[in-house]
Amino acid sequence: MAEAIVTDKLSKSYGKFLALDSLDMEVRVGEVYGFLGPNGAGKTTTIRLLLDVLRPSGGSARVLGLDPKNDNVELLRRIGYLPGDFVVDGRQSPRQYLTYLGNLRGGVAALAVETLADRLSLDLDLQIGSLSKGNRQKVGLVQAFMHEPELLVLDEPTSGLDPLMAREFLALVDEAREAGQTVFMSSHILSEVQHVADRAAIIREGKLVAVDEVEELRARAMRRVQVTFDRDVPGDAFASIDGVTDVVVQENTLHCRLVGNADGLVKAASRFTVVDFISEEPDLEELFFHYYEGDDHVA
Amino acid sequence: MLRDVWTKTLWDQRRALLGWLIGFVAVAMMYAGFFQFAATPEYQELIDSMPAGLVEGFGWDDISSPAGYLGSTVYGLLGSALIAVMTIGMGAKAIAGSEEDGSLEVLITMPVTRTKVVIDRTVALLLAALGGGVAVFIGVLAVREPADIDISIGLLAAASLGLALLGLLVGAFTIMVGAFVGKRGLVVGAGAAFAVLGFLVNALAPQVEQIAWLENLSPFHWYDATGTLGDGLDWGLTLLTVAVAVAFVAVAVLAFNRRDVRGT
Repeated sequence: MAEAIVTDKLSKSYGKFLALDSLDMEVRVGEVYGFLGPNGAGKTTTIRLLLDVLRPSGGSARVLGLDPKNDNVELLRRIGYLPGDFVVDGRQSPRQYLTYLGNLRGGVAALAVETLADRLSLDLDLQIGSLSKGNRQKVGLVQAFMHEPELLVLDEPTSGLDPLMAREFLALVDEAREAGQTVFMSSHILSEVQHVADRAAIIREGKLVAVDEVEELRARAMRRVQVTFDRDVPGDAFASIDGVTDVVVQENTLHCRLVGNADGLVKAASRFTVVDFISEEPDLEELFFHYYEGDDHVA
Repeated sequence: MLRDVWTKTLWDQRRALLGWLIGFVAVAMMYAGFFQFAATPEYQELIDSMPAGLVEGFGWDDISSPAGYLGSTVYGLLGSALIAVMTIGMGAKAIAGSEEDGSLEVLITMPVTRTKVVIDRTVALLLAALGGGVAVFIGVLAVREPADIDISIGLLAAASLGLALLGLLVGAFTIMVGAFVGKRGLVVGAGAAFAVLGFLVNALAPQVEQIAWLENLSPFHWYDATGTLGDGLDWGLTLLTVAVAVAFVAVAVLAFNRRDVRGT
């Protein structure tokens, strides 16, 4: 079995609204796969279909070679799942809750829970209700990782985590890959998955728009850049730089769009005195828009 | 308590359940203790002055006998209403409530079947209902002698069991509705409607000759606390109560296995 997840025209509709439209996707065993898309694109719907929380309106999925509905328990035993909106009864401690979930999984070593909690700086003995959103998210992460599942399905795993913890989480993902586990994680931010994912898919309005190596996606990603100088700059100074388009210069500020390597732009800007340099997160909406428009627009 | 779904369900609700049990004991003691005042000619006169339909509807027609009194108070409207409120609450939480607050998604993505989730939560509800029955039993027993209640311990136990099973039935119905629709408010409403309708049919149908037969459809008629306190449980109707509850749960399992679980 070379694929951890295979979907065949997987679809889900609610009345007339098509939440997921004929998704064909393959996730290889052992890879870290980013599942990217803006909010409401169908990421959570897809994930819930893979776990049999939702039932498809059409098409099918195989996960770890199993049918999500008919082999449900066998499949769920081998998966660690973090829901996009992880909700727990607050009147218990993480330790109690994780012990319970561990028991439902037939027993999980307390040491595994302790180790994960330590790494994520999660206090296992406070009431969950008193924890911040980020700390609750850590409880969700611990329960997903604690039984060292073959497949990790993580829906927006870094939501609520501070940058330090997000980095620790990415280290966990890296180690999971090294241990041979497959990781399928969704996000609406490219930079969140670009450091760990091997490949990524981009989904929009229920349709798969692109699947590629993350490096390739990043090279094509377009971001808005704003550079402020200490005095007015001439507009034509930034006219023909590789990857830079839509140049607008207003007095001492440059607005433009940048695709790929920032070197040309930085070198052009360095001829003046740079006061501020703001590069926004690549916008996924624009990323696949350009992806579709083809190379002529990009190059 | 953290080993299984049904134990965890009870554990999570331990404070509320403890409150219910204390409430059941207190209400049973208070009302049963009041019997000595109800078994007086003055009280009987008061009842006699009320409209016959009202008296019959609430089962007050035999209020000066211990069975008639307990059957229309502790085991009557009051007891059934209390146990129904408790099991409707638990039943609504079992699927719909957990679904609406989002915690059900984690549970059904653990390696347990949806069937097990429904059954375990029903078992928790059954144990809570039985606990309610035991609490009522203890409360009545505590005041039985001082209040001059001349009913055997066995008959009190039988009526308490009947009350618990009535609670089970109402709760099972509520779970079943929740298995179809994951909206807690709607499910509570349906459970309450079921209980109120059952009570009204039992109270009012016998007073209108043409629809008197309808009372046979009411779980409150099957329950008949006054009859049980006098002659013991009617095993046929008791079995019917359990069978219908089991049928509700079976439908719940089928329905819940078929549908999407909504997230938050």
